[in-house]
Amino acid sequence: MLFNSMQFLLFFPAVLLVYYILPEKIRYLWLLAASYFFYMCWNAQYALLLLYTTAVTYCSGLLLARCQGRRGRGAKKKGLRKCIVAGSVFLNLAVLFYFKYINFAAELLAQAFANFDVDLRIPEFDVLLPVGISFFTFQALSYTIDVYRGDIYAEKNFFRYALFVSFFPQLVAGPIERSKNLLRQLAVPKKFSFERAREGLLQMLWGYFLKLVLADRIAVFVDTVYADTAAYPGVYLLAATVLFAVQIYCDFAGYSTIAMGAARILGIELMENFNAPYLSTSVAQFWRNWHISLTSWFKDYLYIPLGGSRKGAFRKYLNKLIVFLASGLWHGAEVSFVVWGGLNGLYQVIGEAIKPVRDRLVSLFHLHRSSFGHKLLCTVFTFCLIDFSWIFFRASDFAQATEIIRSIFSVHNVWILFDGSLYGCGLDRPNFWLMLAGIAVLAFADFCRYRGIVVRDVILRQDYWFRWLFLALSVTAILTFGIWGPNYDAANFIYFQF
Amino acid sequence: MRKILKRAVSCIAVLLLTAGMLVFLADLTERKASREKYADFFAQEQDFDVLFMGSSHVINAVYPMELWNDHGIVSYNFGGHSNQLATTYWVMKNALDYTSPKLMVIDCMGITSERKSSDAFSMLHQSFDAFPLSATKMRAVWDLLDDPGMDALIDKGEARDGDETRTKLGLLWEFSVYHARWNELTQDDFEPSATLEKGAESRIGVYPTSYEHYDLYQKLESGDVGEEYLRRMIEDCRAKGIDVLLLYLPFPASAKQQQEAEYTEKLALEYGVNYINFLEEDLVDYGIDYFDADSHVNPSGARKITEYLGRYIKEHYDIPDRRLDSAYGSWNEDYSAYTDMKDRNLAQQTSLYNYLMLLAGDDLDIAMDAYDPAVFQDALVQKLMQNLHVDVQQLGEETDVVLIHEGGEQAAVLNGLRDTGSADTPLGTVHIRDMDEDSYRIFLDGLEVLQGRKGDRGLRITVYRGDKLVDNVLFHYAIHTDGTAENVSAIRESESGTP
Repeated sequence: MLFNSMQFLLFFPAVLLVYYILPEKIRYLWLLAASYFFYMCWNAQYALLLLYTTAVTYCSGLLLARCQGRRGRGAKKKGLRKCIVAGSVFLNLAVLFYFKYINFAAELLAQAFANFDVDLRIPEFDVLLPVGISFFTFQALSYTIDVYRGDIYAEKNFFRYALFVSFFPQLVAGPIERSKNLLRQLAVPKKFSFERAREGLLQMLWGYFLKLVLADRIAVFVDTVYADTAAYPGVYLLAATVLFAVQIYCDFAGYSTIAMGAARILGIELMENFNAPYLSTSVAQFWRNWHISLTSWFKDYLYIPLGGSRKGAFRKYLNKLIVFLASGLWHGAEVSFVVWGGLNGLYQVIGEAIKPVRDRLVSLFHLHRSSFGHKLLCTVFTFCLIDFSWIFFRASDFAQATEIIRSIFSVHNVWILFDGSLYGCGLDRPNFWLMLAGIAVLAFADFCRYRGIVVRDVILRQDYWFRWLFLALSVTAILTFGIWGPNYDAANFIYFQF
Repeated sequence: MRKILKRAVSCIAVLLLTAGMLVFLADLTERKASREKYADFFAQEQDFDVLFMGSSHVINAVYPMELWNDHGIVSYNFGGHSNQLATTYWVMKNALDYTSPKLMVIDCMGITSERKSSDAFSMLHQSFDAFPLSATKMRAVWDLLDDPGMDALIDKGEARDGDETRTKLGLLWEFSVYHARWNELTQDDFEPSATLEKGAESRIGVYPTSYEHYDLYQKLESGDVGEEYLRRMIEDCRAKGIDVLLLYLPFPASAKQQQEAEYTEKLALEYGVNYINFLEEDLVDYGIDYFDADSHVNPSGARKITEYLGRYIKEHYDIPDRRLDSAYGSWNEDYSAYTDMKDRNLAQQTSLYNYLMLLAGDDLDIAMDAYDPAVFQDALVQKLMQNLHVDVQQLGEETDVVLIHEGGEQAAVLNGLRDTGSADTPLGTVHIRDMDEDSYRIFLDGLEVLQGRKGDRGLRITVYRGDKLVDNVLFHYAIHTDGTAENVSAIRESESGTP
């Protein structure tokens, strides 16, 4: 079930109504049932996978708690606990590997053998990738590791734990929640709050704006150009690549915002997943503001265990590269995703490696790092680097990505920006300008966020008539200008595939 | 308590504001085709006496306004483009929620169809959008989208490319489809109008076609989904006390369609209802009465069918003449607007073929001044002149003037008028008189019927509706070696500077 489907618009109010009618003690059971129903709307059989992950991590948590409870036998106990964590990680990653990476691995293996003239024929596995498997697997694993580290107590109530893994607003595309945050909230349900519901609703509206009005409109342009790179060379591809950066942001941030809004109405605060990422002045800062729940997951559960920055510069750089290569692989079983991840890791390694040179240049030319001009230059430069890497993310494969880069740099047709040719890329003139206006609204909202202004609070502080009009106009505008309805094949959120 | 009340007011206010804006926008963005077709139907408080049901053949073949003018019949044309009989059934059911007719006239083409609806989903919109949401409309949508025949067609890849995903939501909440029209709104969306033809649609063009009669050795044993719904229509009408007249409208029918037409007679007998198989009637001229290759009749063909149907209905059913009924006074105004529309259509024509076709069967007095009578050698022009009841044998090199009364009631061909200056005809005495060095005029019984200019080439036609001059046009054409006349231009009075 998609957030931008009619089913969800019926499902969510029904869930909400029953949730607040039921006694607090059993509300989590209702949410659990609703969450499984939500997942099973896509594929009922794959709910067993969700149950499997839940059961494995739940048991590992209990076993870890039991080991922790025993006295004495220090080294043996520690070893046993490590075995339990390793077992849980293995059992979960094995499933993830099978469903997501088996064909990719087989292909790589066949290619490797082909280098030695060995024709290795591995049958292709006809596997349908379960929606959100990367998200709920990582969320469940974080629980096991948190229990192992003693950051949280093991959850005894299986159903409450199952809800933690399957909580429907963030089940299929995050944010990847931490047990510390979510389990605690699920244990203590909140009473209905009008203010909180109003805030949640506004958040959902913003999410729908990002998804329906912006992401899906930009997608028409980007898909048209990327589908025929020969017919749309040079500046067409450059424009599509710049717009893709906005599309993926609106798509993913749109989903996260709807998820956060829906959860907030249910009385649950999910973690922020985006924080004006394209206003970042460095790649490192971008990654602190983009898909925060995943970046922090990798930091806590991979980068730090690898040694982080504690073992010298070389290990630090190596760890960063490993983390970003893993992040690329997490996003998809394709070489282009790995390249995308590696490129982002490389940016940071190079950035840090040449930091003394940069500092020296800044001092030599008496530049002020806090000046607007400097920040703007850094922001634009960072955007260019990130956007370049998005080419590998969006292209159908590595070969297409290289072809696109070649076309951008070798075909000179800048006049298409002025002669109306851009209106021939799937969006007519009104739609194109509506898209640009929407992007301006997004930029304004992100700038406010960057300056610490919460637009939602500003709106809610206004007089009642303004608030009423604002809400009514927002809903109407989203429904009118959004890309939805029978003419539109309900587009998945991009991050569903991960 | 006060706080709860305040919040409740807030919620209701936001909901009402949103609903109000959405209703306004739904109205604005709606594709207007359906609303324009049905506007007059919903605007009328009184019942309609006759409803015409069927596919696009019906839309193009039956003109309710002509039935009003000729017989005082109050009728509405509910034909729908590409409608299957199942769709027609549900259109009828919805229409019957708003009116109680005395007679239901149903075109039976498609009784062997396995489908319930058109493969072009926009056609369903045109048939149903204007009907307000109701239980009947919901039943219609549910039934029409449960269509195994259509599904099979799609599976086989034989359906037309879908212009829209076939969903119930799209038909029940049109805004879900039409909101995307925000970027194509025109003045017509802000100021929608009604068509002036009471559901009918004149399609102007001349497409020569032919009818082949097949010897039907193999008879049709039964219909399909189409027959099932036709039976339901007849039975539902009978249950409501509505008379039924079945039709099979004329077009170049295939052997299977001729079998359908023959089989329909059995059904009519079974139910004891009247049936007109137009395929067996020598009514339309397949050479000039069709608009397109899909066999839709043009106004010339439609007027013949409408006239026939009007007489048939008056003879066989007790349908009142409402022309003097004050409750239907607005129909006279509507008819006046309708004739204005016809006149505008005529005055916009640039094709001689279309022009001659439109003249047939209408209440028009026509004077033609042939500067270059070679045009009458064109085979199609001859047929079209024949359609105006002109004796084409008389048309030749010497033909100067042709006069036609009441769209073909009477006609006269004047050969050599320019030499004699006057002639007696069954229509009256015709004089031609020079006014000055450049211009001349033609009079019929002393009344001026045509103003011409010396030295003109081509064919000048002056058309009057009663005393009103509808058009004065000069057609230029090139005559090919095979005798066909190719239209070069049509110059109107104001353009030519004719007095």
